[in-house]
Amino acid sequence: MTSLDSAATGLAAGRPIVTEGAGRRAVRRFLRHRAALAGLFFIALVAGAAIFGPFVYRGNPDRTNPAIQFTAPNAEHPLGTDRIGRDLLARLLYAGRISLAVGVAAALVATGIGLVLGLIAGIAGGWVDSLIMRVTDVVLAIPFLIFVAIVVAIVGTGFQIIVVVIGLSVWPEAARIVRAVVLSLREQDFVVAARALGATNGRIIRKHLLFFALAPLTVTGTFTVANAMLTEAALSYLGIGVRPPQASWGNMLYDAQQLFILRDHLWYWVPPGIAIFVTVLAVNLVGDGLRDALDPHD
Amino acid sequence: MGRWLARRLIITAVTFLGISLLVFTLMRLTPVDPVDLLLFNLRQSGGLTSEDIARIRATYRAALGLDQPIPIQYLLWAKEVVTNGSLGFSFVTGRPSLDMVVERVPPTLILMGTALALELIVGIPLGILAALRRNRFTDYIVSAFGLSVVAVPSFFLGLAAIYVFSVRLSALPAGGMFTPTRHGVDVVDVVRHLLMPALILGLAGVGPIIRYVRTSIIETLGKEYLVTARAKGLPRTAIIVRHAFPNALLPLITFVGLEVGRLMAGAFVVEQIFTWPGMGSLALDAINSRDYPVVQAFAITVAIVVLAGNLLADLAYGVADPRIRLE
Repeated sequence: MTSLDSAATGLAAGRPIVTEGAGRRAVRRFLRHRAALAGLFFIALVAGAAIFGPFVYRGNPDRTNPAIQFTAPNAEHPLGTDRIGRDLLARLLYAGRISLAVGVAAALVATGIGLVLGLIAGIAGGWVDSLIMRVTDVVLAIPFLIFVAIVVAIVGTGFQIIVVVIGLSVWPEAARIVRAVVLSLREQDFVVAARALGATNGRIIRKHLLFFALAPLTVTGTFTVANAMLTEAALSYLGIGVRPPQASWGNMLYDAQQLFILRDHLWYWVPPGIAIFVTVLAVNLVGDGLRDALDPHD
Repeated sequence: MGRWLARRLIITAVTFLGISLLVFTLMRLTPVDPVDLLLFNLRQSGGLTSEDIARIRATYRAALGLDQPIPIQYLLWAKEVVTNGSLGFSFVTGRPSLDMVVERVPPTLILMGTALALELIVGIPLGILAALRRNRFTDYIVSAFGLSVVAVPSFFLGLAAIYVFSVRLSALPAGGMFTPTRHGVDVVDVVRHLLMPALILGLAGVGPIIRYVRTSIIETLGKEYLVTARAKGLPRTAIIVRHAFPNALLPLITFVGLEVGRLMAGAFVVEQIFTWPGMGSLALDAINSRDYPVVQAFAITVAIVVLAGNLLADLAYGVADPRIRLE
């Protein structure tokens, strides 16, 4: 189908025209969104520091040295050292890799599961649809931070487990969005026409449905990255997420539960806290910008 | 009304059934066999041959139904829950796990309820303010505040609050629910302990409320019946207070229902920061010590609280707005 046809069906259905120009228009609207651009800038900054920082700053995040524990920031250790003398700047940079990777990977897992189950529910309909929707109800009834904590109690913890379990517990939102898109399009003339022409389900999904699901999925996916990062941070802070010696921003704050560290060594726990805050805020700003840019109703 | 109510109840019941299946399955996956745990002491004491142990083990497993196929095991488990209200005994204390969780529910509900009240008291006026000052400086400040409180991790904010108010200013207690040296329950004392955790738990919810109220009021103000009200000369305040607020704020009931889940997860973390004696602290201890019966009772209790919250919100919304019942 050409873009002209889809524009015509869009008009007939009273929806805004979606043509090849839509992508460019979304980019233009996103670029007008100053807060989103600021978000993008900070994400680039944080991701750049996490990815390239360790090549520039060659401190070793794992080398312990009891002789220099709890050193305040100085020339050799710009952010000081922790309770076993590890360099905190090096740990902050490596932790950034872990935290960002958990956020992005968990969001991809969740979006993937949500996309597949949402498509199945929307296209199959009937009892398959009901079953999948009831499963989303069940998953949503146990708050996902708690769900992840329970699963971690059983299967243990670690980077991969955290990613998979967060993904497994936040997919319902994506599934519901994809299902809603499919249901709203299923009876549209262009889909009915494609079906009449003998198009298989796979072809209809690839050529027609995915395009419309992509915009809302990108938006929720972005917010999921932020949520997953916050969840990982909270679990790691509680000691049931990413485990030392691997550093994550959350587990760097674990030690601050001890009063003397909280009171006397601010450099120890403030930087990772600010890193989480800035990164999550930046990702949410980009999500807001994407929502405004991709939402055709505005 | 009857049909709508029945439909709501059935959906809730089916969801709860699904949760019980999920929890049961998760508990089957635990690496600990309750019978082996029971036999551990017997084995330590010696004097028994391995054949004796094996025989005792088989007897126990049969008595507990562990030799049955998994679906039968689920039914036995469910029957035990329904008839005796039993979700097993704590590996650590030996007490019924459900009792241990239930006695920790009130502190958690107090924390969640206070947090919810605080976030509504702060969030609704700010949302209204942002809507009425749309696209002006005040709106930007309020929206920026809303975005910030969502992004700041509660444990970081909690540590910072303890640092400022407990360590530096010595103004508020850093944790717990009571001052241990006092006798009896002193309300002022509890409120002082409650203030920081409840504020921090509620703060993360303020962002979504601001956004929700702001959008809803802006949308409502554009509705035709409000244009009519303006056209017939009603003063602006009357239009906003009498007509815009009720219509714009009613959907907030649904939001509150969904908020129960977030508050529950938030309480799990916040209770740990402030050593609040709720079910979250109990659950984290149980998770760390692999006390599965307690974890199981916790999961079921969380689901009941969340589902009850959703159901109550649904019902309240149905009573407040009759159109909902016609779906």
